[in-house]
Amino acid sequence: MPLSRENSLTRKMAAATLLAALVVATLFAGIESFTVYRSELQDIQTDIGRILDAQKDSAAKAVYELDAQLGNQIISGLRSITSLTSARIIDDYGTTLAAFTVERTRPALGWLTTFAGIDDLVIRRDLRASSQNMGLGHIEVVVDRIAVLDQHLIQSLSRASWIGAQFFIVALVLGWLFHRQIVRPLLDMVGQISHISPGDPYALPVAAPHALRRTEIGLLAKAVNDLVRGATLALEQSRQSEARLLTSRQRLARAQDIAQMGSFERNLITGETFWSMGLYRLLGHPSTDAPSPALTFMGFLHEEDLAAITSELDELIAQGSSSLERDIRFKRLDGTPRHGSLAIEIGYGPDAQAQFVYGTIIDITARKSAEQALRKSEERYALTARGANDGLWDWDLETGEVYFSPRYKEMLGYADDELDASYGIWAQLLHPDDKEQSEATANDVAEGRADSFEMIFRLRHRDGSLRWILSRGAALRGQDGTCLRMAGTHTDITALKEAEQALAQTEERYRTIFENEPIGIFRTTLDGQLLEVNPAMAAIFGFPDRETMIAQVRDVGNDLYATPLLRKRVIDQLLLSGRRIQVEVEFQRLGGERFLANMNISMTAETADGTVYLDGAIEDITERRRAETALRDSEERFRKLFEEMQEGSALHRIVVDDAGKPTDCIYLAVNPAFESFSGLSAKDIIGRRGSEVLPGDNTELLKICGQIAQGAPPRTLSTYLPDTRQFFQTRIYSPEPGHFATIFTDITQEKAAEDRLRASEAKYREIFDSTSDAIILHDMRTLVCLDVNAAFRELTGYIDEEFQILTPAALSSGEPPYDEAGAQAVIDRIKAGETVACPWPLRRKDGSLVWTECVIKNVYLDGQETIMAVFRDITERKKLQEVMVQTEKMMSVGGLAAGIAHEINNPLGIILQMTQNLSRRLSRDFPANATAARDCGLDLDRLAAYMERRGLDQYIEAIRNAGERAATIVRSMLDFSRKSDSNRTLCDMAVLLDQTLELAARDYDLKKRFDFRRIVIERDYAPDLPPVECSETEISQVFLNIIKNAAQAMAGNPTQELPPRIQVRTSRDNDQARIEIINNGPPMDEATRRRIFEPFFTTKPPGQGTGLGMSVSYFIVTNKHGGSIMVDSGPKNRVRFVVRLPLPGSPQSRSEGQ
Amino acid sequence: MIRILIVDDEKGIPQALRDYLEDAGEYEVRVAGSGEEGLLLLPDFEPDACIVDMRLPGMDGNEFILAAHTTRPDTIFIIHTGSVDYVLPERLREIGLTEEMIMHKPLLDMRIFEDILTGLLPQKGNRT
Repeated sequence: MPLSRENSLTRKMAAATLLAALVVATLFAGIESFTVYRSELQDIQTDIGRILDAQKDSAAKAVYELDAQLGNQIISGLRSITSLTSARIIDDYGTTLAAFTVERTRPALGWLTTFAGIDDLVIRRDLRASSQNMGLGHIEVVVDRIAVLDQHLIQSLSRASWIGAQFFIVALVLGWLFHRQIVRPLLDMVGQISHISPGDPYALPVAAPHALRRTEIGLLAKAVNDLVRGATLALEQSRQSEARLLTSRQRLARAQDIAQMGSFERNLITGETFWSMGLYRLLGHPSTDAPSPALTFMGFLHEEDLAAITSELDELIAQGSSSLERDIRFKRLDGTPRHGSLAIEIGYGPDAQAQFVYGTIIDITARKSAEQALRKSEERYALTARGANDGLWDWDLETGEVYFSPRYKEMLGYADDELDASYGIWAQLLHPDDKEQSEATANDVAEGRADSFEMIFRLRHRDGSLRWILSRGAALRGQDGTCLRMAGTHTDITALKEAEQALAQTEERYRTIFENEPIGIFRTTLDGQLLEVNPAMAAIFGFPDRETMIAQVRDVGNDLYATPLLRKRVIDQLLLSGRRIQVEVEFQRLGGERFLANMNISMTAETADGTVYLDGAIEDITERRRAETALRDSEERFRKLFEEMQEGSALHRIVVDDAGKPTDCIYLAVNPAFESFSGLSAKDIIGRRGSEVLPGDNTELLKICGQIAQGAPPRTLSTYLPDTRQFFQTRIYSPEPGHFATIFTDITQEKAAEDRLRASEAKYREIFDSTSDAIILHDMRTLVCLDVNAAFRELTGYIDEEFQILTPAALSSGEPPYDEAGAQAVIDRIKAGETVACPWPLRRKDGSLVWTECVIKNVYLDGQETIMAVFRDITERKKLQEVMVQTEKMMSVGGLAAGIAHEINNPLGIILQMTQNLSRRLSRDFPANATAARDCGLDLDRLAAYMERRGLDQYIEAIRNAGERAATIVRSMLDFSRKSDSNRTLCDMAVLLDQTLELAARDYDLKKRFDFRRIVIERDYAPDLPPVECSETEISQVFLNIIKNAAQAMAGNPTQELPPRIQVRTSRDNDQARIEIINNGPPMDEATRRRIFEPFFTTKPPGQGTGLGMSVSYFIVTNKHGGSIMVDSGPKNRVRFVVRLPLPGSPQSRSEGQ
Repeated sequence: MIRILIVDDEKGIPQALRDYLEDAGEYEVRVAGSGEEGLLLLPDFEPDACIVDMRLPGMDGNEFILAAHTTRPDTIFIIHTGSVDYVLPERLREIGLTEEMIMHKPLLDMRIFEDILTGLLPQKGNRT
């Protein structure tokens, strides 16, 4: 036997070694072949690169410049490389410029192509020009990998074979050595062991193997042999005792398993603990575990039990007792609470010291559960009996005795001792309508026609209400079948009945809804049969009523859906979702019109027969869609409006505190106009708080906005931004509760226009009030006075708002034609469009009348027909007329003078010239006179003496003076009539005054009567007075007249204390030049002052002045120059003449210039 | 002698003037009561100057001057008028009359005639 084992091992080893050699050789061959193949491919690529690099300069040309020669150069270079199948130069368009292909016969290894997926290797190189990729072509080289592989395979295989052979030889040698030196001694040794094992362990080996004598390994084997022999003996013994122990343990474990029991023991001295497998199992621990240190002694026990047991154990030990039994609660490892029964035994040592605790635990959870279930069941029964709803009755037909249980009575509102139990009572309480039926049923049982009954009747409750009672009963029969007793229960089913009724009502309600619901409701079968629809559904689909629809629709998919496929999809979807779905489906009406509907559909399986129904509701949403589209369009429009409107607009949400008081707002949206108005960007403020965006105190504004957001009416506020000088009108309203929107309108322009209007109004008001004519406005229709101007108030004496009571009649004198009727006549005329001008005696507030010239016309004010009456006080005009009369007078004087001047001048000429001749011919000095006198014998000297004596000289002189005076008067009078010489120039008043003063100083008359040089002249000329357009000579004459008058007046009063003085002043008085000439002569009395400008009025003695100087001056200033002249006289010896002349450009100046 | 023709219908005026001028010595004065009469005198008298009233019976002074000027262009004309609103017509201005030659009645001093005539007729003064 050992021999055959030896042979077998050697053979196996030899085979293994051979196999290993083969594997190694093959491996080597493969690796070699692959390496060669890789390096060969590398070489080919390098070669291609090299060839291409060699042609680099030539190839650095655009492809279109590649000529055939260059192409062939490259190709021939490539051709030298073996294993190349083909190479070609291709341009970008895929055209082959040059190529070669080598036809190769497929080598023996061709099958690898398909087997190993080895294919030709294609190498592509882009043609490059210098460093720049021309991108115009490339070279494509195809390498036949199989050829490469083929070429080197034989070489690789031979090398691999060589290596394999070497390895094989080495393996053989090693194998022999191994066998010789190790395996054989070992086999000998094993042979020895096998000899001793089955037999006597102590027997000596029979024979030592031959090899053991010589080698050290033999000695070693002998030693091992001895050792093995001893060990085998010990092992055998141990194995036997172990087997016994195992058996005993298994037995114990099985017992414990069966008893669901676990046991443990603990050495109280050493603390060692042992748990049985049963215990582990009991506690749910993996049974293979060793006692876990984590599990303390009885750590699984309920805390209370542990404490109790511990103390009991202590007590036991103290008493020296040895056993304990009790129920315990414990936990399995997974936390399940269990009940157990614990038995403990204490082992004492010889010294009565407690040494061991032994214990067993039995799981009694099942028993405990059963006990508890029983107890619960009992309790439940008790409770049920106590709280049972049924009343019990028992009727002994033989004795007629009846028992009603307390619950029976309670059901009807009676206490246990209140209601006598009898058949009669029941019959009394029974509702009359139920009586017949109930008694009949009871009789049926009583008389044997039925064994039990169940009926419903109504009994009257103590409070008068009716109770629905379900009565069940059964008969107890005697031997002969007669009914001895009947007993049963009463159940109050009033609530149930009521619920039933309510249910019926609900059902009715649902039916009503079903009938009246505007949404179509339907039920179909799964395969498309229409079972039920409501009228709305029929209407939606265009059927006259639901019956017709149900009758006519054969297949829902065909008849109602736009296409049958739609229904299939819906059902697929429904099946997928498995519950109610909502879909939008296109349906068709009876006429074929298609429409879109929203459908809620669900699947119901009736359990009774397993039929599947589809229930659903359909809402025609065509209109809704239209409305939605319209709404969207509208929203779009309004959004655009919001975006495009010129008014800035912002939407805010109000933020309130807990008390509902607005504390802030949040910007929700703003439009571009708002951004431009506010200079704030929407992205910066949307979603932000008002307090962040507009810092500062906005409490008041927020309060207003908050009120509006909470329902107050919209408001419009005006805001002025001083920084930008802009006025804003802000409209605040609430588009929805809790929100407010603001619309800002820039009303700066409007405001400006308004201001202008107001200014204009004020201006016209000013004009209205400042005009000297009294104006009153009446409403044409009502004749209510609307307004009067200041002049009217002044003229009539009415003050403030008193004018409001004034009617046209009240302003009339009351005497025809100036009475109410007259006023009405005037109003009628102006109503007809006429403008009425007439004199009108206007009644003042004090009742007095003032004569006015009245112009009344119809005007439109504020779109209202208004009577405007303008009254001019003609009292004043009369004064003017007087002035005009004065002027007329002067004019007529002038005209007269002009008419008679010629006639007067001739005689005056005769007088004066004759007087001159007379004087000369009487003169002694004139030679002619002497001759004539001599001829006549007259002595001229004597004549002279005679004339002197008789005063004839003076006569002549007097005649001459009178003639001269008359001539002056005539000339002065002519000034009135003389047309303005229109020789007007711009005169500087200061210059003119100076010239006039000089003239005055030289004046003959002045010199004669007054030394003008004694008069102090004071000049005060305004430097800014512009020149006056006037007739220089005329104005000079005016000034001269005044100055002369002044000088003469002062001369006439030589006793005055002050030196005579004339002040000459000029100044500008609006658009008039004002010239004042003031003297300090005697004051002018009032009569003189008033008449001073009248013609021929003079204060001078006769012969001095013509009486026309001042009136001519007046005429010149007022009539010819449109100015004015006045004189006043103050108390302090002062007479002042004031001449006003219009400055160029003033109205008077213009009118006078024409 | 300087020959002066006075045309005036108011007898006193030419008389006073003639007396005055004749007293002055170097003047020969004739008087015509109307323009027409004056024109008749012109050819014989050949006046060096005419002193003409405006308001005349028949032709007025202006017409006379124009007519006289036609026949005697060298004659000097002096207007002596009682009108206060006399305006020198343009036609007379054209034949050399100026405002200086207008004398308004009544003349306070007749020496002015002498002055004017002396000024206007220097050569005539030397003729004698």
